[in-house]
Amino acid sequence: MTDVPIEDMPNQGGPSKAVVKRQPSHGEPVWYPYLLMAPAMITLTIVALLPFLFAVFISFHEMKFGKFGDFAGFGNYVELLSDGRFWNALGVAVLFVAIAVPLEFMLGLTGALVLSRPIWGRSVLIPFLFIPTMMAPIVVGLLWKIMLAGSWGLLSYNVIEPLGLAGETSIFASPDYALFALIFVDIWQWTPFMMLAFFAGLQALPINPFRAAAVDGANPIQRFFWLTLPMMTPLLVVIGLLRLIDAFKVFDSIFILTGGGPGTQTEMPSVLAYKMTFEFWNIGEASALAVVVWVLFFVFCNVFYQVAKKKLNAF
Amino acid sequence: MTDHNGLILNELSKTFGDNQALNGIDLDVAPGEVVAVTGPSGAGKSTLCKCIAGLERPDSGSVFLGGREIAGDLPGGRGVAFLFESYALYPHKTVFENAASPLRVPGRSSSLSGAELADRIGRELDKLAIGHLADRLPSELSGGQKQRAALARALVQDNAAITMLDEPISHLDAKLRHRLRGEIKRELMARDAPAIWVTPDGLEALSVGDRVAVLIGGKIAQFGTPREIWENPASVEVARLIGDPPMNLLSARLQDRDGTVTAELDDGMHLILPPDSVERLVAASGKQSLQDGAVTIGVKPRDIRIIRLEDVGVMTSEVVSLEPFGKHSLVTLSLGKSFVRVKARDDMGVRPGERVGLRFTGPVTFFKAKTGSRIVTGWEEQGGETERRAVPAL
Repeated sequence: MTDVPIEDMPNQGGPSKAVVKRQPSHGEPVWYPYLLMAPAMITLTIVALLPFLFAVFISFHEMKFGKFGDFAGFGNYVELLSDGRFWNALGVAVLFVAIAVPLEFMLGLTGALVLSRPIWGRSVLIPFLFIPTMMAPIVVGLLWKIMLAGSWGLLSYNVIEPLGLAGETSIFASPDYALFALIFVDIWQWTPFMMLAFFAGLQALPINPFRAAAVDGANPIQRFFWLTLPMMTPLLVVIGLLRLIDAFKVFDSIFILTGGGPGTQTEMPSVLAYKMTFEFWNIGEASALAVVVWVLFFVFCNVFYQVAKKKLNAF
Repeated sequence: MTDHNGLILNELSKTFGDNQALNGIDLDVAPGEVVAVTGPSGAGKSTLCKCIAGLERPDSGSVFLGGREIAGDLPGGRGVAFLFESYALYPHKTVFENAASPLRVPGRSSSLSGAELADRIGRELDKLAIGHLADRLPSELSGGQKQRAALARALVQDNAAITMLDEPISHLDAKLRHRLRGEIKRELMARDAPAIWVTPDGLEALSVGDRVAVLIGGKIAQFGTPREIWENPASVEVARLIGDPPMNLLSARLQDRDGTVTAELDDGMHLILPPDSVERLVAASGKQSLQDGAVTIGVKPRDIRIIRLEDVGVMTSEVVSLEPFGKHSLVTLSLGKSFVRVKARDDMGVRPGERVGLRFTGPVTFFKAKTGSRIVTGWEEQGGETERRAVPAL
């Protein structure tokens, strides 16, 4: 270590892993940061943490029409896990997410790549893309209920029925297609959001590595896989994960369009929890359902986070 | 019209909005030649490189490379090895992968096997003293290390049709800069392809360029060998760029008093011009009389000597500051309203505030006051150094 220039000294850790120690405060009291965080923390405690803990509490009790009964141990959970409807709901949700989210993801990324080229009318197009995202999900549900209404709905009358795509009834009453109609609505609503999020990410990429790749002779496809995709990975992972969680919890459009039917064909956990609570008044089992779904997500998100961190260098 | 298989630019122009970045650039770089392009920031140096690399489309003019017009080619088809001023490293690739990337592009003349490639990259990284950083990501490097990683990526392309280095060593520490300047120059000269070395540092340009192009305001202000540019700067602007410190420039007015021509500086001081200088000036300016000619006089800091005031007939000035560098001292003197910097081998222990005399010991360059273009470099007359002094009178 005699004649190594200072800048060549082995860099222990590197800036990305550097731990920034909190500097001694500039005369501010120790509790000052906590004061600043307090409003958010208090709000979250009241509207999220306490109801959640209460739900956990409920799930361990026998409930009769909103009144606490005896402590039930894992009774509600046993009941839930032996309920075919619960497993059906999980299956529906997995199918819904597994089809809707990858399609939204790919359509969104493709659209973002198209948008990031200097195409004609881009500045007009972008505000339009915000419309589905800005609409309340309940309004989206009503909109498509009308568009796809049996026999007189605009799309039903003009497209679906002439082509005989969904049999005689409304598509929402079709056991085979109802779920796909819901998936279609979800894609309609959320693809533009994905597109805009990815578009913003593409705009933020540094231009010079792309220039370097162009000079070095990489073609557009090589540039996409060598540069765009790896540099976008953190954003893709975060947006994809958010969308995944959100899609699993979808409620409004299902509630409006199918109510979980026909039968239980489109009954996702959120809809089932609603029905258990307000139709069957089985609040104990509904709370157990909520807790189980939460545990599933907690585990899933942690695994996802670890994998994304190690394999993809995201986060 | 130059005729070789290197790089030839004809009347190259490029405008960004209202800004004429390049204005009729004529430049040629022969195979195996290194042309240094220097100029102040904003002069168009980087734009010039981007036009050659195909990253910017020139408004007019032609670019020939390897005997072929390449203006219509895509950047990737030009075979350019380009070091970006901003490095442009791939942020998610290690130093090694960054350096290897141009050799791994399919279709490129990469006949290297995996082991040969690793060996080639390894040698280049070692030469640039970043071999131990091969597995690091760019975000884990300092500025100078990033610059060397980017440099490696440009230099490993042995078969490039042209190598362009945009400020290749500007962020390195002085010791490394001095070493690499020579090594990179040798590596570029050994190739059978032209090379362009961009630097804002005039002295670096003189030291690395077989020829030097001085770019000012989008135009080639001067294109010649380092010696030509050092000895005969084409204009005041060029003179300001070259040298550390650059040439002293003093505005003066020529007066012809019965055949004795003097250059009057401000504060009433004047230099008596030797007759042969006058002849040259007259010949070069094309005028019959030098009366009332406004000129700018340029004198290099090393061509001024500080002398004791006891010597008669000298310009007097006051020492403003003294910077001893060991082998020489840099003395700043006030002369009238202007400042003069002197690179003195012997500073004679002067102190700020002291009054000293000074004497010009080397060639003086005359520029037109209005346009700044050079009229003539004079003052070089017969005899040894003692004879070559102007004896300015008070």
